Amino acid sequence: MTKHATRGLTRRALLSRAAAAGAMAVTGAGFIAAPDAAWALEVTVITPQEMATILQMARDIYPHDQVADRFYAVAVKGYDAEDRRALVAEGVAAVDRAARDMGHDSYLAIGWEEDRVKVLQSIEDSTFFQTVRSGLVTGLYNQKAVWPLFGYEGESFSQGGYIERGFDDIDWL
Amino acid sequence: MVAKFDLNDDSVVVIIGTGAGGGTLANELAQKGVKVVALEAGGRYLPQDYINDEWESFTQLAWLDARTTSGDWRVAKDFSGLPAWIVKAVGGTTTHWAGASLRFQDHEWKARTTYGEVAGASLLDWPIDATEMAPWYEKAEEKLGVTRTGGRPGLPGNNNYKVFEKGALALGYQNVHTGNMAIVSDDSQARTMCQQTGFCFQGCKWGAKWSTAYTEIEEGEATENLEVRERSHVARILHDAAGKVTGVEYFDTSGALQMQKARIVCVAGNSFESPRLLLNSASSMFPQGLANSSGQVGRNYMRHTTGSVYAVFDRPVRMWRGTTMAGIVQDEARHDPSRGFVGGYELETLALGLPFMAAFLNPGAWGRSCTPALDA
Repeated sequence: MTKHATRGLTRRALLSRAAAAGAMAVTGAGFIAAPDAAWALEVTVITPQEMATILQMARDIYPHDQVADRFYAVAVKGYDAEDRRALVAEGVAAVDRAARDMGHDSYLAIGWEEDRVKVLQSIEDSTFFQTVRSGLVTGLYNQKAVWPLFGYEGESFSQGGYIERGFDDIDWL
Repeated sequence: MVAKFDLNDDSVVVIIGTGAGGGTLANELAQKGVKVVALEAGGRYLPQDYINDEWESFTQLAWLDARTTSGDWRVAKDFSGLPAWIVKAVGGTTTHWAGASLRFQDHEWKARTTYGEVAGASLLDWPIDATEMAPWYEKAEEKLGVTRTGGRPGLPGNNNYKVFEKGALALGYQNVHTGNMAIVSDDSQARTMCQQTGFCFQGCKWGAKWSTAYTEIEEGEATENLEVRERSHVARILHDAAGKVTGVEYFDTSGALQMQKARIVCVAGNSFESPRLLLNSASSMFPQGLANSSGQVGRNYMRHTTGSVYAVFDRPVRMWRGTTMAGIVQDEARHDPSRGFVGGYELETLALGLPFMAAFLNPGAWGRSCTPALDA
């Protein structure tokens, strides 16, 4: 497999709030990947372009700049499935149609988050958008690996709770 | 040895449900030598089984049937079909409850008399009052080990409470404290003291919070007068030609329909499942369902009405550390119609973990208008 990941980002991409998101690239046969190859997501049913679109939607729907693409990728990888094929194909086509209606080449081609959000707002009542959004509520935030990025500590029973580990240690009141 | 009663033993009392009502009744009867069969729709989970993970625990303990609601309130739109957070397990919703143990106030016992006619409501006075109930409250507070009653100390304030208390006092509220909680606050009691672990709503892994699962049920079983049949879902209450109950039909662990005879049947299935069972037990003699000559079974559904307010601070609170329901303001609990409404309300602070925050902070919202609150 060939990886043609974009080396280096354009100044515009870096300046835009899309920086964190825009770093992913469709790399040809069955893959999308980060430019530094820190992660890659293989697709077998839907197209890399479709997966990249869903991934970008995920970033725009619940944007957290401190959360790397790979966590969003985990949250949406389930769309690469036979029983999602039609939903994805029709949904992504509708997103791109909405983007073209606003004068863009496609949703993914939009460099500015603000403009992509306008596209998503125009389709936010659609089944596809609501499926992606509601799936992310658990798909993204219920990943134990992302919890530390939000400062959330998860279970504490295995460490004896917080009775001797700071349950009342607030010092800024 | 745990008791085992015959399906044809019509001398037993059958209790449907093992939560706050059923579990407690089962133990009290067993202590008096009464033979009891308690039928519990869910499985048996004990502190070692509880999962301190919000969604996983929900899957483990909640009654997962889809529930419907209607009307123009937000829950009907955002959570149509979401299961209610009641528990289907031995111990029932005492596994999940916060532990808040407040007494009714006088105006709540006599709502109709105190509030007068309220349009659209069907208020009634209770036929009992605070004086009559006082000794029973004391007995319950003793059994549950409620803090700030019977000489028991309050729980220590955690970070979340400290923020809450500071704000409340700044507003001039005076009756602010860590609550009357059925959570053990010192070493003098049989159950383990609260270890400030969080996840009170997912089942207390220390057993510090009162739940019938590991108090009443175990004590009842120790008398050999109580048999708990778990994963036994009652489908129908049966009666004879005179209209007296004779037993219940239930689906056992394998899904097979069984019939347990009984001399008395107690229905203790929480606010959805009790009326559901009574209505499902309709017969030619009682076509509207059992105990429903009024036609009111399954109507007038009223739970705690709650409104949620979230706050974002510019520095970390780590609200999930320690007791989940960390504090209460009671200054607004009075009946004072000059505020524009009857009755009053308790203001309580509680914590959510990231997964539930994401789901319940502002359901349906997306984009940078909502995500910064989760970053905080």
